[in-house]
Amino acid sequence: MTATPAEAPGTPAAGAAAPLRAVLALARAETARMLRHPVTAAAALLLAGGWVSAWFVIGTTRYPVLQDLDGDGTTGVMVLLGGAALIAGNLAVLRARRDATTGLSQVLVLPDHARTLAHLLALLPLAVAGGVLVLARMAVLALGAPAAGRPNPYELATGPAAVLLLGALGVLLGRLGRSAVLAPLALLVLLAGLVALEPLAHGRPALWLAPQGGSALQMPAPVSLIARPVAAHLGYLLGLAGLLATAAMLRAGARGARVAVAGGVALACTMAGGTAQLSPPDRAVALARTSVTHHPSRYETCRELGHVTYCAFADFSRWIPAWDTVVRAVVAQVPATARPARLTVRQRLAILGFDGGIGPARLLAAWRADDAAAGTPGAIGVDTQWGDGPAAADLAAQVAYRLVTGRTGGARAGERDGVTACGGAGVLVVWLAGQAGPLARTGLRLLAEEARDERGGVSFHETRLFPAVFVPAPELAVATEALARPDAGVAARVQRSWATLTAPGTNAARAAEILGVPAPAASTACR
Amino acid sequence: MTTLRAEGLSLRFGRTTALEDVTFALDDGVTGLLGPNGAGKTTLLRIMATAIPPDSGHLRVLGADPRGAAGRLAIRRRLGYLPQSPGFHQHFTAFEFVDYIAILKEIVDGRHAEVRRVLHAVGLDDQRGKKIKALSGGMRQRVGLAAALLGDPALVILDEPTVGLDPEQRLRFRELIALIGEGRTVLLSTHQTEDVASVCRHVIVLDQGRIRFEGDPVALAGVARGRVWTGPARADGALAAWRTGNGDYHNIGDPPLGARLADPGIEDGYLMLIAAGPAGRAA
Repeated sequence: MTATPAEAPGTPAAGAAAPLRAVLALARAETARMLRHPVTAAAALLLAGGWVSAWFVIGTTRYPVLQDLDGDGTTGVMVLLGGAALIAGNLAVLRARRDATTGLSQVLVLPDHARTLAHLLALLPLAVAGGVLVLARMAVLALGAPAAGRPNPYELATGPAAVLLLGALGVLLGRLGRSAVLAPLALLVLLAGLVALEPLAHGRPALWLAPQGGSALQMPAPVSLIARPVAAHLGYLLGLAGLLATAAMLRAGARGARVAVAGGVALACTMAGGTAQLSPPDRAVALARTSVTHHPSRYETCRELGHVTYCAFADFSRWIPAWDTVVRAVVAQVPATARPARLTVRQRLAILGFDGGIGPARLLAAWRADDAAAGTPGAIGVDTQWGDGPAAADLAAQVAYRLVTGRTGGARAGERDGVTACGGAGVLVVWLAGQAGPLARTGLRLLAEEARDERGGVSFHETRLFPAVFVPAPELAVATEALARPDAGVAARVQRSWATLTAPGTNAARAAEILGVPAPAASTACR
Repeated sequence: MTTLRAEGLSLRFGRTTALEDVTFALDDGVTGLLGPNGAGKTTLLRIMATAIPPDSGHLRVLGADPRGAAGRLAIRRRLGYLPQSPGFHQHFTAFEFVDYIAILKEIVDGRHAEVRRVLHAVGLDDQRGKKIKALSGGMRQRVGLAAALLGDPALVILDEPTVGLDPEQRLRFRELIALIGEGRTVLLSTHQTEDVASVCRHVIVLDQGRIRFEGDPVALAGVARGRVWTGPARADGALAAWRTGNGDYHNIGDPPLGARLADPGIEDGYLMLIAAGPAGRAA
């Protein structure tokens, strides 16, 4: 008999490091197969395609708020790439059984638990690929329209962690059952659970027990106020993935201190992360939210552009030039003598639950007091969403109302729609808002359509929660006619008749006559 | 040095006795394992390949005892095994499949070179980039053989590797097995007595879980010495008889009228053993 030295190249190595090196080699081979698997390729294409189409179809008008969008991709990454990891990981474990090679593979050197470790390690590049896609999406968002804020790295890592979790589940299922149907079934159950859980637990802490985590805030907020327990959730997900991986290793025959330690660490992560993520935000965050909501001027940075002062939270200061474009376009249509010496535009935070429970009326009062204390009484409000038509129309109309009436709009106690702009003033508010550019005109149309089913007219908001100025239907109709005419002709009439148009006694019919458009069918009993 | 020594191996599957008191030893060279279907050949090979343990008996393979995990590992490091009807990962190329097996054999240094070496050894240099599903049955068997040769194993166990191959493929395979048997121990399970006659220096005949013969091919043929006859008629009480190409009958057993005594072949000896039933062990 000829015995071959085990050290010779190309022979099974007998050294202590050989199993580990073989595990890494197997992990590399399995990774390559998982990444090339049609399910993975289809998942990556669907994910990227979905993001690109959403970006083109839905998101082109809304300026990105990175701390708000960083968690948006989690569910997609989890369902698509995680689903691919679940199926590809499961198929990798079952390969020998599916292809009837167990007769050979069971007498090969690398033990089952080492192969399972390799299958688990092979999931890491899949999770990294998910992370790369998430980062690429963030980079596109950050480099496109002026983006506000910054993403949370823990939030970005949640999707890839979910890929690991589902991949580990696939490996475990491969160790528990012989059928390749188990993994797709598990994915279906998971999807059904996601669909069922969403309406039941929306906004509740229990939602954090699901892989995708809790629901986002209704409106974007500065980074420091978000306080989503994403770090704890990430630890919880990784702990769960570790538990599933440990179970798979045990099932494959792994024993010993290392497995026990790994299982212990995974259990500790799961328990600690799971508990921490269910805890409410600490009191300091709650106080900060209330303080920022009540007194925005204390937390904002102001910047003067011409005669206008813009005050924004630090995360959102990149939007100031876009606000200025709208404001300048409106001011440019007003006779120089009618322009105010100073205007202030102030960003406000209006998120349910952030106001400390004082209610809308007292919050409005707190804002007025804050403006007065900051030396900017009558500041025009803008919220933490920007880039779409309604937001541009809201800001433009508030500026127009200030220029036309000398007063700032805004809801008062008991008012449904904010102050009402009547007659020629109302017509001018809408027409001036329409001069702020195509985006504002689109916004005007959308806002008018929103109100058409009720009583006509259009309402412009200071924030999404608080209406600032209401223009009744007859005034809106006249302004719409005027906006349909060539701008230069109407603009000349506005310049010539500014005083008449802005006079309190000028009704919509008279304004129509001045602007050379048909009179409205009905008139408004404006006060 | 003895590569493998089995003493009193027995194994039952429920009420069925698969192996009973099997004792033999293997040295360098090709040993043929002959036996009818259900004789226990595959079971015996699986025990030797450490896939399943016997119920009783002792086994030492390459100096190690497969009852312990360390012993099994030591054996597997130096074992090449081609199971009966081996499955293949159809979407792998030949190279990828053998490379995958090499990883599972913990071949880490010079792995790709080793994969190329064994594919060259089985004559698949030109086919290594082809998907296995695109290969013929003979080529797939070569892929399986290449996988068995990974790591230059001291013991190679081949379970009916020529089943389903056409005559030319069988001859090529036979040539390969003869080459592989130079300098190592090869155990070849087969139904083909010609294969055994061609390449084996040692033969074991297994029937109903028992060894019926152990010796060299000439001795196996010798079992039928004085019992093989050629003549113009078929003997009524022959254990086996068939008409040959020249019109005469080849009879095994008692001489028919007018028959001439013929030199027995290995096939005759094998048939004598099997037809005689489990009466005892011939050597």
